[in-house]
Amino acid sequence: MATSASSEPEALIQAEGLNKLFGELVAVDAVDFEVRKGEAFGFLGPNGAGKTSTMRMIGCTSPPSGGTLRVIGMDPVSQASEIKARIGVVPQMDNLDIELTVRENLEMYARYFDIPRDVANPRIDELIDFVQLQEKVDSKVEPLSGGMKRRLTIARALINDPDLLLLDEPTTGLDPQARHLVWDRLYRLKQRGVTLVITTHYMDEAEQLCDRLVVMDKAKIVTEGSPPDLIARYSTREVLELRLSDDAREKLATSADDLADRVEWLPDRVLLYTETGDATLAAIHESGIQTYSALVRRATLEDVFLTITGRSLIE
Amino acid sequence: MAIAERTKAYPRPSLHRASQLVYRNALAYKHYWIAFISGFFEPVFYLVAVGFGVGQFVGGVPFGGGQLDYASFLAPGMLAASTLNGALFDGFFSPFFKLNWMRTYDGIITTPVNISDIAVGEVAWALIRGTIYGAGFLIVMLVFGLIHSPWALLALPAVMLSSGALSAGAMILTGITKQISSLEKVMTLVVFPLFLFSGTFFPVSLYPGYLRPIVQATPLYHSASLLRALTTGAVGWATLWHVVYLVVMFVLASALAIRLMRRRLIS
Ligand SMILES: Nc1ncnc2c1ncn2[C@@H]1O[C@H](COP(=O)(O)OP(=O)(O)OP(=O)(O)O)[C@@H](O)[C@H]1O
Ligand SMILES: [Mg+2]
Repeated sequence: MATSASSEPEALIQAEGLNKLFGELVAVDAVDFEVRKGEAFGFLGPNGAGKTSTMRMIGCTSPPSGGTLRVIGMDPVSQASEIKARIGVVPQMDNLDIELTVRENLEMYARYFDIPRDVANPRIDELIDFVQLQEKVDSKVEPLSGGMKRRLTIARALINDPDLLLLDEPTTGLDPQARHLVWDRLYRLKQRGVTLVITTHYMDEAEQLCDRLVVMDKAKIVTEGSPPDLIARYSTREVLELRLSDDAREKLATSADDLADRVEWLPDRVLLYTETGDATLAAIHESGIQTYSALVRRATLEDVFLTITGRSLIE
Repeated sequence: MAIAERTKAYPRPSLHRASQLVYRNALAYKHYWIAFISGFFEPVFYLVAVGFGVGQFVGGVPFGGGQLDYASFLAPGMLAASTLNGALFDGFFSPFFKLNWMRTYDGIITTPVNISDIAVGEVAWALIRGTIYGAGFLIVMLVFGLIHSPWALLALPAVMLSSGALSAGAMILTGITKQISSLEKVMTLVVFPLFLFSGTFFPVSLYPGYLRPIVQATPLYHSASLLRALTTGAVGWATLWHVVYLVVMFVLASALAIRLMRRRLIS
């Protein structure tokens, strides 16, 4: 018995063959993954891929339909309360208590977690500073901006000083400033040793925050690795983006396959995946093809993502 | 298979965790205290307007083999109706919005507070609020001379019982209602008829024989009859039957409400 408390598992979350069914619909299809202590782990995937369903199973608010799942070494069905006491949840949709003020929201969650008042009060002050809502402590929740609400939700998720923080699309719908503020806070939490699990469809977010990630598509995990790994595996180092006249497009079509590892023809642009974009561009100019504009950039996770999950909407 | 079996071991409610919901509602009402106070006046207005106003033209009501002045007849009926109103508000409307609009409960269940705690907490809050209003109304009755027996000391526990049973029943509505339009349907098709026809405004003996059993099956009839027995002193074995009805309703409705809420919140 004593071992269950003292032997902290190195893997905070372990899933094997994890399934989630909603009636006939398979929302999560036999996924395997492992989240290690202290890392920032990402679930990337298009709408409906099964990210939220997976997060809710980890958060013990949705029972798995099959497979095995361990969270902090415990069973999410029979030990839900114990697990919940040690995790923080930032849901995809804000569900702040709009009948209460900012501070009262945090006070109530401290109560739900049964945190003694003398511990909770200084922690609430600290969290309000941490998410920079000092001016809004006594304001109701409703008039807050989207970014403020999100920050309050993050503060709320931290009220029990969790070992594991689940963030379902933490910055969707926020403006760039608000996103950067959230990223900065999440980065600091990681520095403090909090394990982060993040879902997102923003590639830059995944690249900024995640040590390791899995890409989900149609309920399955299709690939897994660190952002640089995945870029190396699925893309070239650089991407050359060209805008061309129709004539130039035709001309390029005959020779493009020799110039780059892979070419993607989009309605407005042509993407050439290549190790050195400048060299490829020079070769194109040499062959007499005129370009309206040319941009050489590093390959990003977005290129990986689109390569794997395709460009068309699958809904 | 193993998982399906394990999910059946639902956590039991704890009064301590449930009390956090009561605290939350009290905190919310700090911002809406006018709404809180106004809940007290509604039955008083009915009592004054109908009991003393209309009552002047009514004379006596046949009751317990004798005659009872109309205001004394109506007052316990209005007290029962106010527990119904309170139960609907705190057990149905407010949880409906928390469940479907504000998603308050979705947030709470990510903490160690579970769904049965939430249901118990909301019913407890309804019961507490109903009791506060009930106490106020009983004082008004005392001042107007509408209390005729020391049995009335038991009227407050009876108000608590009525509030508990009716709000547990209201939580069932929360568990099955998804559309906001259903709120209005419940008001016109269930609540308003109950309010008017459950022996609140006039005695059930006025109904033709075939309608009586229907009226006597409704919870508000039992609540009103119980309170009337206590404030007038016409207590008998039948009074105990009203108590049993409300206790059974409280237990069964609570259990069912928890199951329904679980179905709504866990998927
Ligand atoms: N409670 C539910 N009942 C029925 N079907 C559901 C439920 N929750 C999710 N689904 C379905 O499961 C599938 C996966 O949904 P999920 O919300 O996990 O996707 P997601 O990756 O989080 O998508 P998004 O990026 O849009 O948030 C979808 O087809 C969705 O319609
Ligand atoms: Mg989602």
